[in-house]
Amino acid sequence: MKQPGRPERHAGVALLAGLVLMAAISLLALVATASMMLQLRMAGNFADTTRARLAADSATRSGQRFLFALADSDRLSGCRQDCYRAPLDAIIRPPNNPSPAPEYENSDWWLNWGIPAATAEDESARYLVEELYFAPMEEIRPLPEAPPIDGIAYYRVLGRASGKAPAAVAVHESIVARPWLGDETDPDSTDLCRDYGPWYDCGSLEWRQRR
Amino acid sequence: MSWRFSCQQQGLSLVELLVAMLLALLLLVGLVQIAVAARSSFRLQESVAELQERGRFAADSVGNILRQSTFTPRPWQASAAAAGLLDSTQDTVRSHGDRLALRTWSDRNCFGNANPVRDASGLPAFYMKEHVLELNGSANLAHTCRYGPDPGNYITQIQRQGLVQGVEAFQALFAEDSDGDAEADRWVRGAAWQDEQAVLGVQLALLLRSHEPVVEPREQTFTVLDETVVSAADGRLRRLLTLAHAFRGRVE
Repeated sequence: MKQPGRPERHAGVALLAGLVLMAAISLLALVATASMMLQLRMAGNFADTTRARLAADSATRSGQRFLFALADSDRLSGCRQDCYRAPLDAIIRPPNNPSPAPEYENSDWWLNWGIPAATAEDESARYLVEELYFAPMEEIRPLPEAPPIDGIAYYRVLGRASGKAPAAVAVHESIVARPWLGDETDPDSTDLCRDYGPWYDCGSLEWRQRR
Repeated sequence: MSWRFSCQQQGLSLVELLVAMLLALLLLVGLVQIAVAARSSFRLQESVAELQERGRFAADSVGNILRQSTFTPRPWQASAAAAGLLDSTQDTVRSHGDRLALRTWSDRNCFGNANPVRDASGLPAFYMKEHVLELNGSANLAHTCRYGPDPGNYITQIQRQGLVQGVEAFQALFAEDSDGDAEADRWVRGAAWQDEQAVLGVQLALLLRSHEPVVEPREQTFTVLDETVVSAADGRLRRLLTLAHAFRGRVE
């Protein structure tokens, strides 16, 4: 009971109990937050990887579009090696050149060697094109009614992109067949795969995720 | 003996004490109920998070296998063994469990390491790799992986390893292009396709269950693709995960 003239004495039990309670509640909140943050980061990484995959796909498609946008005169007729003049020879390379395992090269390497994907908003989205094989007409042995062509070139198109986190990298590989018409150039053909696809390999034949 | 009551007594009467005890009891019952509900809610949320995490892991792991599948490095060589779905892909190899078996060409073994055998150009040689996904007896989605130069010389590198835990049902349906227009026309069960090379994609469904009972125990019915699964009344939380994957080399 407070008595006039005497200073009030507090033992500080209320303060101590309050502090203990606050500490316990804070600890609980901290544990819950840590678990939630982990979940959030895992979901974030998953979304980031998905974003990188979509951008790598976009880069691969850019490489495919580039191949089919070339004029028939861009490749030397019947050629097996060094078939492209500058500047195309710097874009379409021999197999495994400039690296046999480009999926493990870093982003600087890709910025140096990769071709920027035309439609991708992401600066990291790049592609590489390698000519793997050229099958001349005599090797193909098409059906008798098939229109004549010079041969089919098979390309490896690699698309790479990264997510927001540097570790989220996706590299996709597509093997693309493109018929080359050579001397038999058809001026009316605007869609190679529509016109020649029924008889010859044309377009993306194989696909896989390399990284 | 004389009783003297002081006007300054500070103790409590019996009635006051009983009322205080009753109030304290009511408060305590309320608090216990809140604590029990909070604990149940915490365990439920923990199970939901765990199921989501397992679902993400399953989507990523199975997706990684499917994204490598059906790949052939030299499509101009008609003589190479075809990559794709194997005949051992079957419907209902065990209760609520299908089997998915795929073959691909790869220069990396089942662990992702480059093949130490080199080809003529000095690069890791492409060997065949077979993946099998099916349920095992412990309700795990098990993964088997074999790698070798040809099917007669496979080395089993992963033998029925539990990839995803707590999977009660694993179902697969396959998208078949029956008229050659590169569009899926019908969904068929394992090995029921007319032409394996015309299978353009696969749809997978996994019914995941929590390790502990966290909800009211009652039977639940789930439609897992083409199969209806009635769960046991064991109080475990269940979540249905559905994945769809196109065999990219065949649809573009």
